[in-house]
Amino acid sequence: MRVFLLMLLMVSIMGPSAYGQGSLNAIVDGLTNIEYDFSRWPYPLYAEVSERLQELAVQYPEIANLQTIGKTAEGRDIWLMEITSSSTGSGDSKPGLWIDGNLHAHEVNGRVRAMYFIERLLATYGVDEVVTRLIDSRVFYIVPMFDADGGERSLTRHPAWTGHEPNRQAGSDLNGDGYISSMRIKDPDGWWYESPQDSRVMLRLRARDDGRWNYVATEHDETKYWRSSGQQVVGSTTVGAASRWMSTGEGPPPIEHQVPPEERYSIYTEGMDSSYPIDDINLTVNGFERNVGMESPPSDFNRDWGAEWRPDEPGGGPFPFSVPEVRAAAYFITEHKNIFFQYNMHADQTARNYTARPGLHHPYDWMAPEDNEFYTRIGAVWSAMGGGNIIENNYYSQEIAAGAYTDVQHGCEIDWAYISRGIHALMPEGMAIGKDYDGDRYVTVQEILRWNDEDKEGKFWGHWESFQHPTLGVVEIGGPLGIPPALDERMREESNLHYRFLLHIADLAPALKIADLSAERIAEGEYRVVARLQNQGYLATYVSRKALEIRRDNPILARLEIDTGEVLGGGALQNAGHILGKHSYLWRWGAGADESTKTVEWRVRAESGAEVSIEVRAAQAGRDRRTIILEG
Amino acid sequence: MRDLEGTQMWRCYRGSSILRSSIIGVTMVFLMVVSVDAQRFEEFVDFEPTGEQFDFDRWPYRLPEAVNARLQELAEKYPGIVRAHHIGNSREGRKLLMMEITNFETGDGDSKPGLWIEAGVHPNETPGPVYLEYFIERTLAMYGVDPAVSRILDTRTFYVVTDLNPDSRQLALTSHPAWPGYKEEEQPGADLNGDGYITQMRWKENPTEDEYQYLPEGRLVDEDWHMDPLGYVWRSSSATGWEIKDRERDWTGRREQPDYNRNFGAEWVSEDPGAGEFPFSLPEIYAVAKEMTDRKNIFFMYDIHAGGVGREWMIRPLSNQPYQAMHHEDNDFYKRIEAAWSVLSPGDQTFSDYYTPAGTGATIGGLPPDWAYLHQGIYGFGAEVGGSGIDYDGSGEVTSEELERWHVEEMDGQFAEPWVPYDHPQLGAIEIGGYRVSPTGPFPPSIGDMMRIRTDRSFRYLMYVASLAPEVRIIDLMSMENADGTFTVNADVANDGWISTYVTQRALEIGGSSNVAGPGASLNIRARDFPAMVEISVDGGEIVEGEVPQNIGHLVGKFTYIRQWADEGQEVPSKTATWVVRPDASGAVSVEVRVSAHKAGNDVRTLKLR
Repeated sequence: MRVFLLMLLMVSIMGPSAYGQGSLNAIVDGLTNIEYDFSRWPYPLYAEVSERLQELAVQYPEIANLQTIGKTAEGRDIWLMEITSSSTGSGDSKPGLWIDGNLHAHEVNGRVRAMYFIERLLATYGVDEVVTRLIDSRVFYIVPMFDADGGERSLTRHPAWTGHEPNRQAGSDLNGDGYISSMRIKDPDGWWYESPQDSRVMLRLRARDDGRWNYVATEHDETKYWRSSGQQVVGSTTVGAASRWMSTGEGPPPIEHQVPPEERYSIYTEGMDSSYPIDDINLTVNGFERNVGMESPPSDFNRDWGAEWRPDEPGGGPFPFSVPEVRAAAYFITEHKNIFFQYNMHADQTARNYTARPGLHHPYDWMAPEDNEFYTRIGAVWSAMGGGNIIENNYYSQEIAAGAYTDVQHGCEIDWAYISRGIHALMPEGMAIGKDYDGDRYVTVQEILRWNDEDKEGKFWGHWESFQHPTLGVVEIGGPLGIPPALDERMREESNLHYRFLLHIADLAPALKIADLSAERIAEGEYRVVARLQNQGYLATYVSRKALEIRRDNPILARLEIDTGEVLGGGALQNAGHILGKHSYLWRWGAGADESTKTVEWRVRAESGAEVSIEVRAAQAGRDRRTIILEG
Repeated sequence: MRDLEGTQMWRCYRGSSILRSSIIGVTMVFLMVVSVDAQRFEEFVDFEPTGEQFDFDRWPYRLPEAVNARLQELAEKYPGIVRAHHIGNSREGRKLLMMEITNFETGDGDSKPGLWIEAGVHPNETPGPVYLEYFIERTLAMYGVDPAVSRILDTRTFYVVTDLNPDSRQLALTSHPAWPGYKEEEQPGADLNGDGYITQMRWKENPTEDEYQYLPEGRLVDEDWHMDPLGYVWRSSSATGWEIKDRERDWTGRREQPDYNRNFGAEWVSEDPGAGEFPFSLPEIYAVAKEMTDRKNIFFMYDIHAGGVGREWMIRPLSNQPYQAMHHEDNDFYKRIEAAWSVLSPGDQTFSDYYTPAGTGATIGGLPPDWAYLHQGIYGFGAEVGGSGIDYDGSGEVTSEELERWHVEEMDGQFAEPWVPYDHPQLGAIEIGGYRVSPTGPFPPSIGDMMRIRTDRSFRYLMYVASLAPEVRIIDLMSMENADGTFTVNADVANDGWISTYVTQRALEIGGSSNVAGPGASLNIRARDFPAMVEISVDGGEIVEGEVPQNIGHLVGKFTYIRQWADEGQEVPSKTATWVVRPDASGAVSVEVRVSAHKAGNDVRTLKLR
C-alpha cells in the first residue's frame, strides 16, 4: 500500500504526462514474453553473445542496428547495439542513452543484464506502448561486453569451465577440484581472520578507534592509517589551492587491534606461489584483478577516464584514455552529441544493491542545485522501484568512511560523463545471488552461504582443507569456487529492475517540438514567420547546469528554408539558446508557471503561396520540422 | 615589441600577443650553471650547414612531405646514430616520424637517459619545427666531429618529433597564391588585387584621422557560423573580417578548432573548447603520450613553440599555481636551467603562465610541460623561439624598428608590397599592401642571420640540458676473502649526474602516494620513479648470499647534494650492494657487476677475485 501511495505521489509530483514521465506504473511488471535463462552459469562467452547480437539485428532490422565501435586490446570487436526506429529518423536525430555492461572484467552479469534489456526491448516493440513510444523517439546505444577480453578470461577462469586456458589465468588448481580458489596461511602480519559465524568466510582486519570500526593496515608501520578525510581531495577540473596535488595527511589516532596476531591469516589465489595476494573483500574478484591487461601494473577500465584522473590512482594507467576500449567509447560518445545519459553497469558485492552518482568524491552540494535535484529525484524513483535501494557516492559511502579505500576511485566513467561532458550518469552496482531468507531486503554473506548450501549443494563455496603446498608448506585451500555474481530469481528481479529503470530514464529526455508555426504579411512581398518552440520533455535542452558551466551544451538551432524567396536581416540559421524542461521549471515554480516555450522569428521576402519550412534541432532534444504556405 | 601595422596577433600560450613587451631584467647568474660535467655552451664546434642540410634563407619553410623525405634520408645515411620511428598518423593520415638519436653501439636508446623534444603543436608558429630540423642535421653531422656532441650521443638519447601537426602546417605554409600548394578554398582571406599574396588592407574611417584601420586582405563576412577547412564550425570574429569559404552549414552548432596545446591530460579543462573532446583525443597527441609513457628512460620533455620574434623565452610549469606550490628541490632545478638560459641568451627570461594571466585569470590546462611534470614526474619545459632582423643596437632584442630596417636594408623589402589603391566591394576606397600576412604574423618571416644565431643557441641549450641527466656509476668495486673461503663483494654506486635518479620529487610523490589502499592494492600505482638496481654475474663460482638484482633505491644528483652539503665538504653520497660469492674448487673467479636505473643509464665493472 505504501509503495502504491509513493508511486502516486511520484506521478503527481512529476505531473500527468502524455510522455509517461511517471511511467513507474506504465510498464507492466512481469511482462516477460521473452524467454531468458537466468540460471545459466557460466554466462555465454563472447562468440555466443556476438552471434546472438547479430541474430537480433537480422531479426529486427527496422529497430536494431549492430555496430562495432573499435577493437579490444586482443583484437575483438566491441559491439554496440543501436536500438531506435529507423522509420522515425536516424539515431543521432534523437536523444540518446548509452548503456554498458561488463566494464570490469569480473562483473560479467553486466552482459546478461544488457542482453536482457536488448532482447526485451526488441521483443516488445509494437506490443508495449511505452517501449514503442521510446524506441520511436529515443535511441539506445548498448555495449554489453565493454571489456570483452577480460570478460572472456573471467568466464573461462576455472579448469571446470569450457574454454579454460591455464596460462591465461593467475594461479592454478592445485587440489584438482576444478577451481582456482584461495589458499590461506597463518600469518601474524596477515589482514584476515576467520569469521566466528562461518569458518568458510574470512573477514578483513578492523580496529576500533574511539568506538568506530575502521579497516586498518597491518604493515610494520602501524601509523599508516587510512582515512579518506586525511587525504587531500584532488583532481577537480578547476584549479584549487596551491598544494592541491600534495597529500596533507593526518596523524593517526590511537588504535586498538581486535584480532591477535596468532589468529591472522594471509590469503592468496590458489597457485604455485604467493604471487597473488587477496586483499579485496569483493567476492567475485577472488584474487584475480578486475581489470584486464597483461601489463604490469594493469589498468582499471573504470579509472582511465579523463575527469579527475590521477597518476597515483591504482589502475589509473599511464595516461587518461590509454586503454583502447575506453578510448573507443570516448570517441563514440563525444561524436554522438545526442547522448544525454550514461548508464554504466557494475557488480559490486554488497548486501543490498545501490547506484552511485557523480561526483564520486564531492559532497552533494558541490553540484549545482538543479543537477543535484535531478539525482535526488531519480534516486527516489530507484528506491521506489528497487524496494529501498539507495543512491550514493563515495564521499558519503560507509566503506570510504571506514577507511576501506582512502581516496581512490578517480577517473571513473560517470564522473567523466558529468564533469567533462555535462550529461547525467549513473553507476548501478548489483550482485544478485543468494536469497533474502529473512525478508529484510539485505542478502548477507550468511544468506549467500545458506543458498549455496541448501540450493546449490554447496558447490559454490568450499571449506578450508589442508593441503601440502610444494613450496609454502601446509596451506588450507577453500573459499568461493567460481561463484557467479548473479543467478536465478534474484538475477531475474535485478534485470527486470534495471529494464524498468532505464525506460524511466529514457523518458526523462528533453523533447524539442515546434508547438506552432505562423506567418503574417508585414509589407508588400515581405512576411514575418514565427515559430513557437517547446520543450515537452523533463530535462532542459542543456541537460545539466554543468554543461552550461563547461560550455558543452548544445543549443537549439532553428533554420528557415524557402525555395522561392530570401531571408532578410539575421540569417536563415538562428541559435535559439535553450528551453527549460519540467524538471527545472516545475521545481522552481511548481505547477503555476510554464517556461516550456520560446519564440523565434524571421523576415522573408517572398510572394504569396511560397512554401516555408522551419526545422529545429538540439542535439540532445531531438528535432522537429514544419512547413507553412505564406498567405495574404 | 609593438604590434606591427595594427593587425590581429595570433595567440600562443595565453591568448596574448606573441610579441610581448620585453622586460630586460637583471639576470641572476648561478655559478653552478657552468660546472665540471654540465656542458659548457662555448665548447661546441661550429656548424656550417650545406644547402642540403639546412638553409637559413629558405622561405616558405619546407612542407611536411619534404621534411619527412629528408628525415628518412638521414635515417638511411646515419644508421648507427639515428632511427626513424613511425609513431602514428595525423588526423589526415600524414606520417608522424620520431627520430631516435643516440650512438646505438654504446647501447639501445632506452638504456640511456632520454630527452623528448617536439615542435609544431601550434601550426601558425611556423619556425618551431625548423629549429628541430636544424638540431637533427647538426647532431648527426657533428657526431664524431664535435667531441661534445659525440660525448652526449654516446651517453644520452634524443627522441625528436619535428612536427606534431603536419596537416595544419601544410595549410600554414601554402597560404599565398604565389606559394606552391596553395588552394584557394582552404585559405582565409583573398588575393583581391591579384599580386599573388594575401597582404593587408588599410583605410581611414575618417579622412581627418591619423590612424589607419587594418584588416587582412579579403572580403568581409556577414554570416554568424562558419566551417573551416578542417570541418570545424566557428563563429566569425568581426575583427578579422576574413571570408572563409563555406563548405556547408554544420548543424552541430558550436565546435571549435582544437588547440593541440590544450589536449594533454594534466589539468585538462573541459570548458576550453580548444581542449578537444577529451584528453589525448587528438591522434597526434595520443601518439606522443603512448610513445613517451612506453619509454621509461625519458627524464625531460621539451616542447617548442614559436612566439619569439624580438626576443625568445622559455615556459616552465606550473601553469596554474605559484612557484612555491612545487617542491623546492624541483623548483630549484628550474631556477638553475632558467639561469643558464639567461646566460646563453642574455636577458631572455623564463616564467610560468601562472604569472601572466593576460587578464583572463582562467585556468590554462592540457599543456605538455604541465603534463610531463604533474603526471609523469619528469621535467617539462617549453620554448618560445623564432626571430628575424638584426639587433643593430645590441640590446639583445630586435625591435619593430630594427626589424623594418633589416627588412628594407638587407632583404630589399621583399616581404611587403607597396600600398596601392583598391575599390573594395564592401569597404569602398582602401589601400592594399604592406607586409604579407603569414600565420605567424604580418611581419617578415624568421629567416636569415637571426635564425642562424638562434637555432645555434637552441642546439647548445638542448645539449646542455641533456648533459644534466642522472648517471649511475660504480665508483668502487671491491672484494674481501672470508675465513671460509668465500668472497664478500661490495659495489659502491653513486650518481655522477646533476639530476637525481628519481628526477623529480613529484615522481616520488606519485609513486609513494599514501593513496595506496589495502583492498585493491594489487592494482598498484604505476610508478614514475625507478630506483637503481645492481646485478652481478659470477664466472667460476656462485652467489650464496645477497639478492640478485639488488634494489639500492635512489641516488641523489649533484643539484641536490652539492646544494645541501657543499659547504660541509661531504663526500659524494653513495650506496653499496653486497654479495657473498663461493668460488669453485679451483680456477679463476671473476665477477661482473652492473648498475642500471631507467632514467640514469648504466655502468659495468668487472673484478677478478682470484
